[in-house]
Order: sequence, then C-alpha cells, then structure tokens
Amino acid sequence: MDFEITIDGQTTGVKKGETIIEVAYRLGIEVPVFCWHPKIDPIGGCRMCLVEVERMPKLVVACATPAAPNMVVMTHNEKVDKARKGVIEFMLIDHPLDCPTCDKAGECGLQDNVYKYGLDRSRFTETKNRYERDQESLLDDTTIGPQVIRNMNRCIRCFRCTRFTQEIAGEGDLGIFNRGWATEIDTLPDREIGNLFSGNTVEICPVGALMSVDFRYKARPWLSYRTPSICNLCSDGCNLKLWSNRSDLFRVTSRQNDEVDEGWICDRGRYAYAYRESKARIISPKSGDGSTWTDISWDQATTGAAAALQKVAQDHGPGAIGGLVSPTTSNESIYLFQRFFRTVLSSNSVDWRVDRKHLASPDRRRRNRAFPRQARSLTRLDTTKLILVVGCDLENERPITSLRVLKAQRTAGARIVLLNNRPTRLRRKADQEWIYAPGSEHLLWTGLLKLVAQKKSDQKLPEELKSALASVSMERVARGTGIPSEQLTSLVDWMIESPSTLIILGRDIRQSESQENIVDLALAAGELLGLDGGERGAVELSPEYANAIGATYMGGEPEVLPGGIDAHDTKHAAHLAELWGASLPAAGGYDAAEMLEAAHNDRLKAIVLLDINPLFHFPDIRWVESAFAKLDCVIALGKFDLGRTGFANYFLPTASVHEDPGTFLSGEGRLQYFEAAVRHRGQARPVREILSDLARQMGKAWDFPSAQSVFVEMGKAIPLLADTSHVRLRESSGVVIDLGQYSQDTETTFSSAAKALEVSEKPPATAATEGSFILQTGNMGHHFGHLTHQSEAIMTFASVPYAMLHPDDCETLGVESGTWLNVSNPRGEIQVTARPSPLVSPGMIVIPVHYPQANPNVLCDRAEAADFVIVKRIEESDRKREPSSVAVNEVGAWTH
Amino acid sequence: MPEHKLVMRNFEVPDQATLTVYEKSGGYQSLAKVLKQYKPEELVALVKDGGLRGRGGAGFPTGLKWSFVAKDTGKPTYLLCNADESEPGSFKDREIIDCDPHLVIEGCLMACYAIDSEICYIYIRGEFASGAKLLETCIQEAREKGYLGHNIMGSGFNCEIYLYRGGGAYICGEETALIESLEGKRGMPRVKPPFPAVVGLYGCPTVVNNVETLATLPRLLEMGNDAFKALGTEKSAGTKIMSVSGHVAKPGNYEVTMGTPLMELINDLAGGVPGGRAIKAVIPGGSSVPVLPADMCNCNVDFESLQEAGSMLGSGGCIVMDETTDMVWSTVRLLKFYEHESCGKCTPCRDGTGWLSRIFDRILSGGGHPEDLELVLDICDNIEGNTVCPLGDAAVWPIQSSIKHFRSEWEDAIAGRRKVAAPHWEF
Repeated sequence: MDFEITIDGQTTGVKKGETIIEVAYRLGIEVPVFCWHPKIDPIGGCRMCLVEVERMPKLVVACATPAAPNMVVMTHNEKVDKARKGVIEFMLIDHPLDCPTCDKAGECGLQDNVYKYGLDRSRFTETKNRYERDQESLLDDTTIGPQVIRNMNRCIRCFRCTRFTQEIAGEGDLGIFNRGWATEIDTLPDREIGNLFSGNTVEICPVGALMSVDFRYKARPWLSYRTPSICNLCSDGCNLKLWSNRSDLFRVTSRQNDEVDEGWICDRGRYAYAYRESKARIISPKSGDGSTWTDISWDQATTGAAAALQKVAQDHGPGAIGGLVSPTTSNESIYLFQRFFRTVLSSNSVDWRVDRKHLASPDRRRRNRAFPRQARSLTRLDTTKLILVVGCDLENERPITSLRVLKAQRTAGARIVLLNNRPTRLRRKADQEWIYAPGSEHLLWTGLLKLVAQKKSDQKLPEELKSALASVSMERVARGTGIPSEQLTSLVDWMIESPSTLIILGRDIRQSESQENIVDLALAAGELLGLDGGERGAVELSPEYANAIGATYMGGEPEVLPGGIDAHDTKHAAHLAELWGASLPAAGGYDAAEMLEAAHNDRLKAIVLLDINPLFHFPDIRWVESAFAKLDCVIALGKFDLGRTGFANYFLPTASVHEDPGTFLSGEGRLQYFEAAVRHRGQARPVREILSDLARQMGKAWDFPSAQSVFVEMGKAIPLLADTSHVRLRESSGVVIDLGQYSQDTETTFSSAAKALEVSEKPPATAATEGSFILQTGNMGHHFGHLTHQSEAIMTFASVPYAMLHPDDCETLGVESGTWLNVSNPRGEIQVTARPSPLVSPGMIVIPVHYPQANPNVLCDRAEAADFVIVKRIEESDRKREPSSVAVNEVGAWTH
Repeated sequence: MPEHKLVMRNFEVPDQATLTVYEKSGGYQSLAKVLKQYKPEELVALVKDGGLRGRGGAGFPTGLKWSFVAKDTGKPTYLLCNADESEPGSFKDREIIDCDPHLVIEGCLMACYAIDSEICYIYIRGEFASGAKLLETCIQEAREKGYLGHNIMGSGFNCEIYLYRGGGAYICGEETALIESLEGKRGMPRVKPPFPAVVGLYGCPTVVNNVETLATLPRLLEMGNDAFKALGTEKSAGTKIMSVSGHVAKPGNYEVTMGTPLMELINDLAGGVPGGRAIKAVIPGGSSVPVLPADMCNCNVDFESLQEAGSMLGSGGCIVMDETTDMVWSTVRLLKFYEHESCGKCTPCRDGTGWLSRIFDRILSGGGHPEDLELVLDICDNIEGNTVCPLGDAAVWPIQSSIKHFRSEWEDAIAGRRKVAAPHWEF
C-alpha cells in the first residue's frame, strides 16, 4: 500500500494508480455506475458515480479519478445525491419506460439505480425523442446482427458495447454515430455486428438497448435458476452461468473468473447450449440394424450391449474391443470409461485422438506424450512481452486466449508475431505476420532452431545436435518456407531480446505429419532461450478441445494411466489394480489410428464410442467408414447418431454437461467443476450409470451413485487430486494441476531435437496438378466441432457450408460470394458456397469441418502429407439437394 | 485608448504571408534568439515570468502549463496548436492565420523548443480552407529555408510541423477532444486527470496551445518580459485580440492592452451601437461566458476584472446586443448551438441540453408554464460542474446569466405577455 485515503469515514491503504471506485468497492461501499465496467478503461461519461472530494471544487467521477494521498471522499451527501438524481432524470427523459415488455427488466442497471437513487416522478413533460422504428415490427427494435437486437430508445449511451468491441475485442463492426442526444450505437450501413464476441455487448449493456435474439421473450431473470458451469467447446475453459427453470435451458451468460476469462465468452460458448434441446438428439435407448432404429428399454439396451461385448471378447479375445472417447467429455466419464476398458474388458485400447490427420509416428511412446508442453497459466500472458503464434489460428482455436493476447498487447505492450501458412484473424492487431509455405513447419523450426543456436553460442549443445544443425542450410529453409532468412533472424533477435516469450503451437502443427518432430525442435529452441515455463516464458502446444488435457490425464490413452502416468510404470499400475480390485492388462493396446487399422485387418471386432463420432471427426472418412463396416459390434454412448440411422448396434443416450455434474481440465491445466442445471432430457442417463450397469451385467460390482463418488475414487487413483473435491472446486476459481512434472529434461530435449533434425522432411506441399488447391480444414467462425450446428442461434451466423478462397483465386474461378462450388478429388466431393476472404493464401482453400452435408474430411487422405482438391463453379440447379447420409429435421437444421 | 498591436502588427503589410516579407519584418529572429541564447528550461522560466496566459479561453499560464510536461518518459513529446476556433463570436485565430501565418509557425517552433518536442500538429478547423492552404504553403517555405526540419538554423534542434484539418465539431476545440480527433477517433473529451501534459496524444506528454498564445511568443521574446508585463495588468500581461461583433458600427478584431475598459473597446474602437440605440447586454468573451447587462459593463478587458463582474474574458469574442435584442430569443439561439454541438459522451450535457431545448421550444411557441423558470434553472444546476468538459458549463452560463439579469423578459415570455422574436436587424 502506497498511501491512505478516507472514504465515507473509513480510512484505508491504497496502491498508487487505483481509482476511487476500486477502493470504495473493496471497502464494500456502493457507488452506482452505468458506463464503468471493471474490465474496460473508464471514460467517466455517465456521471452516475460522481462523488465529492474535499478541497476539490467540483464533484468528480469515482470511476476515473485516481486516489491521491490523504484524499477525503464522500460518496453520499446532499450535493452528490442531487447530482445523481439529476443524472437519472436526464437518462429517463427519452427512455420509453417500457420495463414490462423489456427483456432486461429484473437485471437492468437503470431500473436498479432509478429505484435506489432516482426521483419518484419526472418533471419532464415534453415529447420524448424516438428513434426510427423498424418498419416491419410494432416495436422500436432493429436487428443489427445475427444475434443482436437494438432498441435505441432505451440506450443511455454508456458506450460499454462499442468500447468492448473496439478495445477488448479489437473489432470494428459496432460504432457511435451522430452527436448529442441523437448519438446512436450502430453498425456501418448494410453491415452487421457478427464478430465472434458479439454476445458480450448484450451481456454488458446495462439497459435493454442491446438484446439477444436467442433469449428474446424466453424468460424473466428473477424466475430463472442460475447454475455455474464450464464451457465444453474449446480448451479455454470459460466459466458459464446457465439460466434455466430446471427443465429447460434459457440462455448462457459469462461467470467472471479473472484467472480464466475475465467475464468475456465467445458466441460459440454462449449459444451452443441449444444442442441440449435439439430435436435431433437421441433421448431413448435404441438398437440399430444398420438402417433403422428400434426403441428399446434401458434394461434391454444394457443387457444387449453387455452380451454383445462379451461375445466379441469370447470369440476374438479382449484385445478385439476398442474404445473411442470425446475430448469434450468430463474427467469423471473418461476416468470410468478407461477403467471400464482396463478392468471389465481387460483392454488398454482407449483413445480420444480422432481429429488428427496423422497418428503415424513410428515411436509410440513419443506419440503418446500428448500434454501441452509447459502449460502456462492464462494470467501469465498478461505480463508476457513477446507472443509468437505458430501454425495456429488462435482466435478460432481459443477465442478467449486471443482476447488475453490482445490484452497483453494493450496493457503490457506485448508484441504479437504470427507465423502461419495463411493470414489469420489475429492479424488485425498483430505487430508482425509472416506466411510460410503450407507444410513447411518442420523446415521453419529447423531454421529457427539453427538461428537460435547460432545466437546463443554460449550455451553448450550435445555434439549430435551440433553436427545435425551444422548441416542445415539456411538457404534451403528460406526457399522451402518462403520466408527470407533476414526476417527469421530479426524474429530470433526479438526472442532473444524479449524478457518473456510465449510460443503457441496450434492446429497446423498437430495436423502435420511430423508433429512430434516440430514440437521437439520448438522445445529445443525454447530450452536455448530459457523458456522453461517460468518467468522467461514457455513453449506451448495448444490443445483444441475442452477436456483434451483431461482425457490424457484421466488415462484416456493406451499408453497412459490415470494421473498421466506411463502405463509401463508397474508401481502405479499395481496401485491402481489394488484400488480397482482387478488385475490390469499388460501395457499395450491400440490407439485411435491403430484401432481402425486393426478393424481393417479383422483384429478389432468391436468399438465402444463415448460422445464421439469418428465418422465425422477423423480426417479421412472413407477409411473410417470401411473400418466400421468390418466391425461386428458398435456400441455408441452419445447424444446424436453417427450420421446414419441405425448405424450402431446399441445406442445409449447420455446426459449432457448441463444435466450431469463433472469436471474439466482446461488447456492451462485448470481443474474446474460444473454443476447440473437441468433434468436429464427424456431417458438420457449419466455415463457413470450406463457404464456401471454394463459392468454389473458383466459381473463387476460397480457402484457410482454420484459424480462426486467418482471424483473421490479419482482422488485415490491420482495423488494430485487427493486433497480436492467437487465442493472445493465449486467454491474456488478452479485448481491448477501442475503439469510441469511432465516436462522433459534438457538432455532429452536436445537429443530429441537432434533426432527430429535427421528426419528427412518431405518437401513442402506444392500443387499436384495445375489448378488444384491445397486443402486446409479446421474450426472456424462461430462453429466449433459438431455440436454447434444444433444451435439455431449459431446457425444464424453461418448456416450454409462455405469455403474460403483468396479473392484473386475467386476472380480466376469467376466466382463471387455465395456461388456454389464443387470441391473434389479422387476421394470424394463436397459442395460449398464460395467466400472470398483475405484470410487465405493464394492457391489454398479453407473449409470448416462443421457441416455434415459438406464435411471436408471426406477429401482427406491420411497417407498424404497434404490434400489437394479441384474447385469448380456449379449452378444452383446442379447442386445435390440432399447429400447422402444426411437428413433434414423439422426445424431445418441438418441433423447429424 | 487606442489599439496596441503586437500580434496584429504586420497584418496590413502586403504579402506578409510570404517568407521574404515576414523575414524583412524581423521574422524568425525571435526563434534564432531563443535557439542561440536559451536552454529549453530557461525559455519555460522566461515565459512563466512574462506572465503570458493562454488566449484560448481558460487563461491558464502558458509557462506553467509547459512546466507540467512529464520528463524522461522515453516517449516523444507533442505540441498541438489549437486552431479549431469555433466559439461563436470569436474570429481572431482565423485572422492571425490568414494575415501572418509565419508568426504562428515561429511560435510553434519556439514552444516545441521549450517543451523538448520534435513534432507539432496544427489542428485547424475544417472550415478554414484557405487558412489551411496558406499554412501548408508557409510550412513548406519554412522547411525549404531550414526554419523547420532537421538541425534548425544549425542549432541541433529538430522539429516538424504537420497540419491536420478538423471534421467540423465545436467540441474538438476542447484539448482532450482535439487529441482524440487527431488520433483518428470520434472527437469526445477525455476525463482529466491524467492531463495531456502527462498522457496526451498517443499516450505521450502533450501540450495544447492556442494560436494567439503561440503567435504572442515571438513578440514576447522580441520585447522582453518587462515591456510585455508593462502592457497589461498585474495578473493579465500583454495584449489581447478582441473579436467585436453584433450591434456595433465597426465589427472586427481589435488588439488592445489588457485592462482596457470594455466600453472603450465597444464605443471608441468598434464605433459603438449604430442608430443611437442603447446597449442592452454584452457577451464579453465568446458565447460560452455569462452575459453582462449594460449597467455591468463598466469593467476592463482582462481576466480578473471580467471575472469580478461575473463573466469571463474567454477567447475574447465580444458580442454586443442593443436594446432591440430579445434576450430570451438570443439565449435560446445559443442553447440550440450547444445542443447541436454536445458530443453525446456525458449524460448531463447530452440530455440536459436536449431537454432545455424542448422546454424553450414550448415557451417560444406560447406554451410556457410559470414553474418553467425554476425548472430551467434547476436543470442548469444539474448540468453545471457535472460534465466531463466545460461544454456543459458553457451551455448553461448564458442561460443562468440571462435569467438572472433579464428575469422579467423571461417571465413575460413564459406568461405569453410578449411574443418572442428574432432581433430586428437595422443598419
């Protein structure tokens, strides 16, 4: 504390730079506000927080006035109260006072402040100013974005929305127009607010001026239950608040956790909840015969499924059964799933990694080392000075982390450098962006490592690495990556000069054929730069899905036991065997790719799926389909069918994250708890109950009456979880699990890098035939994975499958925005609309993976380093209306 | 008392706007003197001692303002020349730029030297198209002659001047709104503190000075502190250009020494009210200051005397109104201006001016209520002092003073005893 000030008679210590309002709130003194928001720079505009300070001639705004030594502040006295009454009166003169029909009523800052500080009647007798109403409706509402409704008459011009959009999100699609009382919040003509964070503007609007299309007239806040939850899409682990009546979900808002999201969530997390309510969701157990579903009872379902699994085990041995689990499933479910496999089925063949094009590293142990190297807490980002994003479309992979990166730039002056094979959205704020040739990630890191080693010549390197580096030709690096050596040198200079550096490796690295080698090279460079996960910085392989870290940590991989411990660790295996009261199968088992391989070779005969659809996710669907066609038995635990009616032998509907509690382990290694907000839909049941029933059918006495009971057992299996519990997690901002113990030592890092350098890199991909495009896929825009297209709200942002092409390529092809394209290669074809975009390199086509009717994964070949496609313009009439295997449900959304 | 022309000295010299003529009249000699003889901090001390106060409206001591500039921040320091003259009644800066543009440039360079700035932006009102063009030419001339740019006159001092034309908002004359506008944002004032001297343009230390203030600098250096101080009063040194307009025979800019009686300015210099009519009221310092009734005009043109009289020197826009003027109408007219120019950032000014405007409309159309006057005064009270910038105060001071001094006119208008009408112009 630097000095003292007195507020309303209370004297307290204050840090230099704190504003009066921050001190007052800390003391529990209420100062009413409209425009002030704790996470946005104050503008002192609404004048609601006026307070009197001794020896200051005028009242001052508490929100923007820094506390000064020996200041004496009065938050309430005659002068202050009169000014506030005046402010409220001014705000109400043009306000329609239509609370009974306003969605914001009950959680409206204006309502609250008027009741508390306002006059009980108005002296205003003139005509209210009224903004032009929407010609279509009887209300004064206009729609300014897919999910944002504006009612300018209610606006009090606090500019929270535009300040969030411009300062926090760095977007430009919402602005201020006109002047004085005619000041309007609007988008540019014929544009809309469609950025990935648009829902936050509605949430921070203190009045009913910006409203959600999705929440329109659904429920009253005071009649709703609020349940704390965690987002189950990307690995950011944003904290959510679910609004429900215990039966239906109404909406999702943020639940501020400063260590994670600072109160901002992306639109995906805000609107994706609707998949829980989707008509396409399967909510009763079914048996399938390959083309139709038959409703059966839970008894029939579990008996039948258990019998089917037992039969496969008897006929082909326990090794013939594999399990695939979704990385968006809770730790509790994944833990039980692998325990079910290891103890009931005696198989280690459990895996969650179905989204990667290549899982073909010859070194199994390295392949299974899937933790983010040196996971770094999000708050550390705030003080990082250099952020290097490589092979990662950060905004699309981890939207809230991208906001944190922008914050680091804004508040700490961090430099943002992007190294990608195409321009990405973060470029709008990047200090530097370099584009490398697609597929040249290995070469890029080879060059970077060499340059770092040259500059850091004082560091001792093992001989094998030295000689491997000596043979690297920088000229070849420059030619292969397309980035001149001088530019890489200047980047390395920045890294060396910067007091702290974070290197984020993303999806393009994970999708690369030599992903492990690239990570090894980056880690070695990080080692030389002193990026050890501490103050100096870190190298992080960013996970994509909500519980990807948890999936590994819970033992959801053949080579990993719960606790992230190597399956060859006999001591831990013995401990688990004792805890589980069963002998464990010898280490070894199929991973995701091997399972499918084994199915082709008739060595795997049954697959159990948990909330996952490999027919959708796996890049190279044809190959997956043929593998599944050879299986005797598919048991699917999930919510949606696999794209084909009756495809699984048994379909056992599971409860969603809104219906059953659990925990996720986020990308930064933070364990967070989510509660159940609503009842299970239909006959859906929690995974633990389904697996317990199956285990009992197969002669094991499983009893897990609650998610808490599973967590208690997890605490016994995993020492790091021993002293935490659901209750503790609920009452904290989450517990960060120290994943640092998985970092490897310097020696291993350097020897791995030396090996990685020796791997003969295939030349970066070049177009196989004239006129073909290199295919790039991923999570994009408002969609994420295969759940978001069940949300009508999200479909309003992008309902039609699309492909992004460079504007020059569009011109060559003679296509405009919205033109239908046929994208094909020998493996298959899909039809999408064209979207000219500067966020694509020439000669590249970027297709999102969310649309079942146009899934680019059908075009991928797992054997190829890169996939090429031919793009042709087609007429609307030539378009296949209903692509095979996909039906349209009643609401018009594609079911899948 | 006759005019005392310091800044306006060479206004009537033919081709004064060209560098050759300007040099002949001693141009850039003050700058040369400063660069040769003074260290920046000495110049600051000198101007502080000279008692020069800002001519833009607030009258803040210029040297003191310079001394607040944050030092050793590792960031550049900026000088902004405020040429966004938009105050109704004030037209002095335009004439300075039009008649002696190099004087402004020389003043800018001297100020830059004092605050250790290498970049000066002249933010000129968008409507001053010819002035902007002229300044652009002069900046080019000065650059070619080495008065501007790298190593000015061999002194090692570097300075560049850039011209920026405003987009047409009165509020951008307010220094922090000017900074926002210059940064390419919507012109809205910032909350102070932090003051521009610490966090200004692009977050760097910044000084904003008025055109007249800067144009006075070369003269101050030329004549020395003692002679300069001898011209004015104790607290208001030097001269002030007064823009006299309204019901006077010879409207225009008159440069007078501080302390000149207001009535002398109006009657002797501006020729008094024509047609033998009597003065009714005077707005002495631009539309933002309280109006003075004729019987209170026995004050002098300087900061302290006008303040004592209940008004302000402001920017020196002296608006004279004769007995034919309807004070209700003229007050409403002013309020309409502020309503139109309110930026919309803060509540009292934005909504208060809109409310007052609608009350006045009703009164003017014959729908006044007896309680309106108290309501108007209370609204004014809720605006005054509660806004981000002084525009809110500027909007209500004319109303408060008009009601205070001409209450019966307002009461008549509200009661419908008199029809409010635009003044009858007769010259």
